Amino acid sequence: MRIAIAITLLALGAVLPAAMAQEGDVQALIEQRHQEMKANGGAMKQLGGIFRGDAPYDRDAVIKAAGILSKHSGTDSAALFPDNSLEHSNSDARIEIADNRKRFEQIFSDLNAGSKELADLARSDGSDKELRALFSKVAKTCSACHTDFRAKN
Amino acid sequence: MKRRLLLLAFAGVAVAVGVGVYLFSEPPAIPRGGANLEGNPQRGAYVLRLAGCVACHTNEKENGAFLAGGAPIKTGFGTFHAPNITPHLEEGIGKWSRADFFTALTEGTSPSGAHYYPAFPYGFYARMKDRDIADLWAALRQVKPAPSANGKTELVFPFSQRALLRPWRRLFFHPRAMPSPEERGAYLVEGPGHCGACHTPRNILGALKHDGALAGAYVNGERIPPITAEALRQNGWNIEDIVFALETGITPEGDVLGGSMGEVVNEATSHLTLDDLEAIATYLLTVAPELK
Repeated sequence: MRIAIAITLLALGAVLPAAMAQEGDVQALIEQRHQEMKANGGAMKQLGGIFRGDAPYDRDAVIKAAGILSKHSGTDSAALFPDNSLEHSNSDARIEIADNRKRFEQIFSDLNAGSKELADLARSDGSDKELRALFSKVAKTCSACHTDFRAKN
Repeated sequence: MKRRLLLLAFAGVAVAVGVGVYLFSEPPAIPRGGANLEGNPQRGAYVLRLAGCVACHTNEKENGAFLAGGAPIKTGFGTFHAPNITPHLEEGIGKWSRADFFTALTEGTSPSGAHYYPAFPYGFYARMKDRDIADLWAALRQVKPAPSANGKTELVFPFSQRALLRPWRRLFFHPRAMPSPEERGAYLVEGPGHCGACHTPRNILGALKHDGALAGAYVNGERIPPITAEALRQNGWNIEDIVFALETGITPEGDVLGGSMGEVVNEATSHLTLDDLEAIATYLLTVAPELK
């Protein structure tokens, strides 16, 4: 009996730290992607204010905000959502990401390309109409991803 | 005494039969003169977006053909599938006439005489202008026919009994004219835009609650927020914010309208003119919905 308990404890001692370490990694990934999304939300808030007409047009602010979006998009950002981090109690990322990985990555890469394009257009002093249209296109990538892959309230 | 009891029983049965006959009889059809109107398909393509046809009748996620049937709609009553509305002769509505289409949209009745479940928001479409319905029909006739078979509607008993939709209509389908049809915003919100189909709570029989217009609801476990003038103001939304969110899906906080509203933005509101979006926003913010 004692031997059985000892073996059980030993086994638990071997498995638990590994599981905890993995859970710690997942938590760190979730934390990182939350920070990235928060930064992106801030950038969208600023861009929205400008293109909605609440704030005056500010070329440098558009370039900077678009830069934040392109930094937090593309393959590196998509990689923050591994299968074992989905449907997690601390996260709204849905399991559908695992089933539609390709589409998920495509949306992130569209956001990356679109935000870079927006910064370039601002640098080359594109017209208000062009800038607004491009912003709208970038916003659609946000909406597409949140519609399919973020948990509903 | 015995006689009086008998009389009472007889009266009771008579009332029950009367109520039954009333509930299961057809309400008088509302004559619509518009079925003779020749529509304009270009304008109709816009109405297709406006009325949300694309959002429900196209299964975007599964790369389904345009308007060839939507993703399953899961509700507390069971699962609905918005059907194939392409002009395909077998699977779509290719055999319909313009008059059939008018009846379907404004009375919720199919060419075979069967009634639609209120998942199809015909109570709103009944308020659409004849011109818009005729244009919509013209646009639908030009859609590429797709052979996709319709998904099977699977409802729990007793809702699975389509015959019960007749008394349901008697109780809950009371199409009324628009209070101010000349006002574009009112028309868009209470008519083709059918905002209340999701944002107004429903009773246990799936009918919209009269006293809670646009007051928010739960649909399939998803919280649908209130969009009454009061709620929007409390949350600090102004006309520009609403227009911008409907156009881009981005809220004033930089957040994104996801979930089912994300689909509405992608498939419907982002395709609308800024004038129409402004009319919607103005109506939502300044006028408490008059239509209950």
